[in-house]
Amino acid sequence: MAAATPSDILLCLLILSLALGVLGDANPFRGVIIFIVFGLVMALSWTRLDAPDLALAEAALGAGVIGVLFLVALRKQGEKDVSLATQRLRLNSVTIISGLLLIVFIVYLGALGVFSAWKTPGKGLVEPVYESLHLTGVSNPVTAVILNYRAYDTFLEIGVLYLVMLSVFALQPDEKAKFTSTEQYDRMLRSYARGIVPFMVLAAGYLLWAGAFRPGGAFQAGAMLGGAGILLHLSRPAMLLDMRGLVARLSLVAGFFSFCILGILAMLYGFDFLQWPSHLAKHAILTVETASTLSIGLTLTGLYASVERKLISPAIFYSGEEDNP
Amino acid sequence: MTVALLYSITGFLLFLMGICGLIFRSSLIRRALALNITASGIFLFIVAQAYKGESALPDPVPHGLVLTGIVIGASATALMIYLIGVLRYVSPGDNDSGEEE
Repeated sequence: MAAATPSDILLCLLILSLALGVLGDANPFRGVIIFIVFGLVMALSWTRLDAPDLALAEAALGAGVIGVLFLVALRKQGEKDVSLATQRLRLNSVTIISGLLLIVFIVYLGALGVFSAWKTPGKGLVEPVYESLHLTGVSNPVTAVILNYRAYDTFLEIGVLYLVMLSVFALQPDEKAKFTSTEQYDRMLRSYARGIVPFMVLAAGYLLWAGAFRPGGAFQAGAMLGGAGILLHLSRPAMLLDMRGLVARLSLVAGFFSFCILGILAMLYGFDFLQWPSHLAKHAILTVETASTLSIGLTLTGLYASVERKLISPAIFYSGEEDNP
Repeated sequence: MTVALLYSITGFLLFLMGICGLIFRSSLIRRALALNITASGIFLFIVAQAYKGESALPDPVPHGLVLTGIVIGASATALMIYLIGVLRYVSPGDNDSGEEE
């Protein structure tokens, strides 16, 4: 096992101090900015730990999309911070007893050997994964795990993404959002978006294709596509298609449906659900990846657009009884 | 100290910090941030376990799990932020700056 170098220790200290900044800084805006930096440093540490796929996803999602969402939430929130009316944690009999019970439980787990299990360096599943990699239709082991060995997990995950989008739909008011075209949008942003969005779409396509043999794949490509969509929404909201339109709805479920349909097709030919026959695996994976990329990109864009629209037009949420401005 | 151990400990500390933030901060946005830190700690722990040294290949199965975890975490955070936005307009105690209790 490799010994930790000083740069490793520095990176870990940086991660911990940034996390402290996110949680401890008195200014919430600064906390969010530090969170974005935290995401980028996490991407660095993924690279250090030989996980470039994760670094790509973290940089695009953890630092990019989520950071932007938090910034929007803060900007629209203004001076009023939403907080639950919680009481400070106090030392009374209940908290002391639960704390003691927790300690007893942890000691019990330690006695069972739960914590020492990971100290013995097992081989993990490295060998089984690489042994049958030639049957999976792709040569990037992470893509093989996600879309072949554990395709069932990914199928459910795409389902969760769709469920999130559905819940946001369910919470939205019925009336369609009115975009006022008189609103002035930043001209610089518009020309920037005009220049960069085609390249982002191109990069998403490349990431999708490259996922078969090097770091990349549907999630990274979807995150890139989502970023492009958010940029489009920022620069010219009216241009973005309505998320309740038929095309948009079909694209949102495309990933989930492609998994369903191909899985059932596999069953019709005598395989298990989502078990790809090895000579067709490449095509099956490419199909579900393309559909999932489209769905993920559109879901991220839709989530961003919903959050922003929701926070922009608060009036539609008043039932009319109170006349707060 | 090995690389895997160092990053595992960092992940564990991140997890603890996130949980503390979740308990002790009352601002909902701060709590959403704290949940994200917690998730990052768990991911770091898992991926540190997958690291097998400079020359050896890392275990791709935990990488796959964490990759899906990052995407799910991002969409869950988006839902959280949306719900925080909804809560601003429907919670009754919000207008009088949480005076009761």
